[in-house]
Amino acid sequence: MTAPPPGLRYDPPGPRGRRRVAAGTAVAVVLVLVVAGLALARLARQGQFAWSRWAPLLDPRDPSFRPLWHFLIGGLGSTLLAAGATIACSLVLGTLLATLRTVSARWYRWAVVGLIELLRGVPVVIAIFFASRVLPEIDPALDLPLIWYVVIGLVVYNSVVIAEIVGAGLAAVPRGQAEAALAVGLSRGQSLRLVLLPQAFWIMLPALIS
Amino acid sequence: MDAVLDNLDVYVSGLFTTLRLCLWSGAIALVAGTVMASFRVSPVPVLRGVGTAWVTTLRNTPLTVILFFIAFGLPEIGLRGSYSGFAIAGLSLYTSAFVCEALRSGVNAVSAGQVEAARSIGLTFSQALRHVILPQAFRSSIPPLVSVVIAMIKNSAVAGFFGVAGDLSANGQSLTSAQGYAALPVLTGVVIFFWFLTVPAGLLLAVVERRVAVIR
Repeated sequence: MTAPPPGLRYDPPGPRGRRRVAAGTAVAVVLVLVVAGLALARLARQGQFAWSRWAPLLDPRDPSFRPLWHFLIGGLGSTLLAAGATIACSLVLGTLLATLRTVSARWYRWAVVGLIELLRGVPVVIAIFFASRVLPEIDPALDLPLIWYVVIGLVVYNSVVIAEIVGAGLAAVPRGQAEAALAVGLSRGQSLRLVLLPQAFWIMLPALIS
Repeated sequence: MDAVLDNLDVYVSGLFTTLRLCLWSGAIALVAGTVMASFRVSPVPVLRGVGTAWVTTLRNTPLTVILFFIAFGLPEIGLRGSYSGFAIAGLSLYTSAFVCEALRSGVNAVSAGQVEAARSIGLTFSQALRHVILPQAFRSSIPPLVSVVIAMIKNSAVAGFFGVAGDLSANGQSLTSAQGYAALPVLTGVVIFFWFLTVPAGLLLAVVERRVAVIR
């Protein structure tokens, strides 16, 4: 989304406007500096800047330095693993759901739509909490590493979000494409796979990334 | 099922606590987001910078981390408050960034002729913003704004894990862990009560979209 050139919304400020802006900026900067100074002074009084507090993060000679960074980098790894697994699974599931929604016959489409709409209304924390509490309750023998509960919860949530995006992407492909695909004798499944989804993918890329 | 029916009062009070949390956060986020959106389109470079920094910081920080900072960081430097106050602060800060972006895209969608007309009859930038640009921007931002609000209602579930007593997610948590009810019915109940908040918002969106859709 590009903003219209600023000149449309206002004239470029003249000498007087520029002076006013400069004065206002100066006042605001002074105010911000004063507030920041007060906050920093307060933090310093409470010993928040004591080197002993920061050394584990910043000083390689501190005994806690290595374990702390080890821990943080391990966390980054787990986050990447959870995110990667979630993205992969929910892309597949979301595309399946969206396809199901477009090709489904009327008598069961309401079930697909209802499922998507209901899962969309579930807070993601509750989805994760649900997975971590309910799955072991259903099968006590289930002994997944904890991170997979996070992945399951996130996949449930994100696959319906992705299904919405894919649905919108499919709807944005010009109608003629689907008609042409059917006209050359592709089945509905083939036309989706070979013609519509590849084009929809490019349309929905920005939404998917965000 | 009994777990839900026996504790219906717990759920209903949780619903109202969550609703109160969301009304406050939503109102504050709407105001803060509008201010930041006007900053981002203003002729003053410093204000544009402030708006951009605000959005970039808050949008790229996980809500959980923001709540961590507010709920456990502020008391450490001597600012004390109730946990629901902290939750409202965190939730509205986070949401304001999304409100700002939704509104800014609405501002960009106001047609250039409107803005030029406002300027040519001599309105200053702030007058044009208040009387011409923002009213139209709000109309065309309603769908994204409602999505932001629905997301906020669901995000408020995080607050229950940060010591806010008595909202839906905290109540669900205490029913399963402290009081030992089976998780499946209790959490299904929590989800259904969240639907009481989010599904009407979605339906409202459908109605509003039809009624105030801007005709160009």
